[in-house]
Amino acid sequence: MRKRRSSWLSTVGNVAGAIGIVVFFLLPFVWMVLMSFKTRLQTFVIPPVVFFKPTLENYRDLFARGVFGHYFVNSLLTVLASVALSLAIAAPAAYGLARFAFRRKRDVAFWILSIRMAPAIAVVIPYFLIGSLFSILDTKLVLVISYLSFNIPFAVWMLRGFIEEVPVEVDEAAMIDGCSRLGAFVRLILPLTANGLAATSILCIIQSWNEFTFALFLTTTNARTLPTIVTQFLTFQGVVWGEMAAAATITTIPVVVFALLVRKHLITGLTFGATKE
Amino acid sequence: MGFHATKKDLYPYFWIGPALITLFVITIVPTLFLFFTSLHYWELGYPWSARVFVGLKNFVSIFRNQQFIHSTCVTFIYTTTAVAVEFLLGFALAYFLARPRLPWRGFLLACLVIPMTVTPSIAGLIWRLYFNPNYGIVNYILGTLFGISPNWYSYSLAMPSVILVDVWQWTPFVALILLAGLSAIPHTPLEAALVDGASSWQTLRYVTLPLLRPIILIALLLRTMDALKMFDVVFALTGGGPADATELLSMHVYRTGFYQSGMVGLASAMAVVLVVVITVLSQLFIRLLGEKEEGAKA
Repeated sequence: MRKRRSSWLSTVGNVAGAIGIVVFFLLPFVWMVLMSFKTRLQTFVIPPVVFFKPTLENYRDLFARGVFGHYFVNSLLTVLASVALSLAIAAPAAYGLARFAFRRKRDVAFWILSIRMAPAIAVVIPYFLIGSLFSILDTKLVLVISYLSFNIPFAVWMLRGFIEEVPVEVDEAAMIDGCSRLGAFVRLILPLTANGLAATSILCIIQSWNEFTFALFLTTTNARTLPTIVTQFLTFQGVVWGEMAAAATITTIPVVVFALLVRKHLITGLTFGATKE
Repeated sequence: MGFHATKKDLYPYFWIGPALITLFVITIVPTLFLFFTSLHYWELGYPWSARVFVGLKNFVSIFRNQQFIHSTCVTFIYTTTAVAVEFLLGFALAYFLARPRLPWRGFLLACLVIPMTVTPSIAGLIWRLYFNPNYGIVNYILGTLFGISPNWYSYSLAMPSVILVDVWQWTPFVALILLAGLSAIPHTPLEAALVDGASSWQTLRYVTLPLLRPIILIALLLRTMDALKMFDVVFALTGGGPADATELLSMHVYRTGFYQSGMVGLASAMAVVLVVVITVLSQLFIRLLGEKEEGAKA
């Protein structure tokens, strides 16, 4: 690996690798964004145009369609409610796992983790049946609840790691000064892990925002979220590429920006702490 | 004293109890309910009381069902191919990104983060446009470079197109995991290999790969579990078609239970099979993670 290569060969390798990465991984995304600013004529012209006068007509048409704005608001409310609720439930649990020794603690922790890996398609069938029993299908409530099933395990697992990084002496000092344990948790541990809380929330937001299976099965019209917008586009044939690209751009830009913000924690989070960067 | 000990034992549950109870209610209860429905014949649209207990009959019939066998094979081909390609490409990428004095590293890493965060159903939709035989960018590039224009919507190329999207979206994930692994490798064994005159191939084969083994297994397991669950991309990209070319297991469950026919009991039995397979894999993953944690503490 560290063998001395002639430097020009190394430079050529660097450039070739970089071009490969940009073309294969970045370009499809950029192309989508570009497409959303093209007129219908520009979209279908061969060879494809790269430089053009951008138009906002796709975005206008998209919002004129009505459902898009509705889905967007649904996505926003569902994701925020679910993530807030998940953190409220998960943060104390993470603290408990980080700070106390008790019997079968490892098993409890791993049980929580294993829930995160269960396939959505399997739990969605009972959710559908139970949801129809309680007549809560096609409500934001049923989505918020179902998103807890992956957000809570994930948040517990992430936050435990962050809390473990805070020395136990902090809690002990606070409790000697007359704080209750709960007080120490709220006034010291939570502020000290603010970065971790932010990173965990953002990762939960990304996962919930992108969730498709629950949204497809459990909602029909009222509570539909953005990822299911694809069903709207699959029904009629290929004339509205620009609008599709616009919908795709608005849906993906927030998560991409968020992901770039928490890049440092992304891999740790997605491997459940198996890799630390 | 005895009382005190139990109180002390219970105290942690004041903290983790709410999470455990919530998870029990929203995941364990539904899973038990899934097992229950898998033992019944029940069709969508009928009242719940119209269900008929059929024992293990649903399980017998799915394993006799050509469609289910086909979906299992398709899922197997999809999973093995996608994960293999992602691993090889991801390893090459990680090796590349670990180069000392690589310029623009931050920018390249950012490029890799984008595909894996794009909403999967949206990725499927957009790539469907890219694969369009007449106006898609994929065939424009292939046509310009190699003068070919394959029909990606055809039966034989539908699966490769799904795999390609998965490779686009998840190779970065494998690459970034392996990169984290590579940068955690201690320098001493690598330097020892260099001193002993090992070629770079030998160093890779006998030093780097064995040291990376746990992290490679973790990457492979996570990707395999995700690929087995795949639903959203294939839903938007091919809808399981043409015909049944890309009808992965999740897609088949959807079609059986909700879309084409409403055989919920039968679909539940299929879902149970999927749950069992994934649970086995996740237990493997957890064991690996446990070993790693212990190794870190030792």
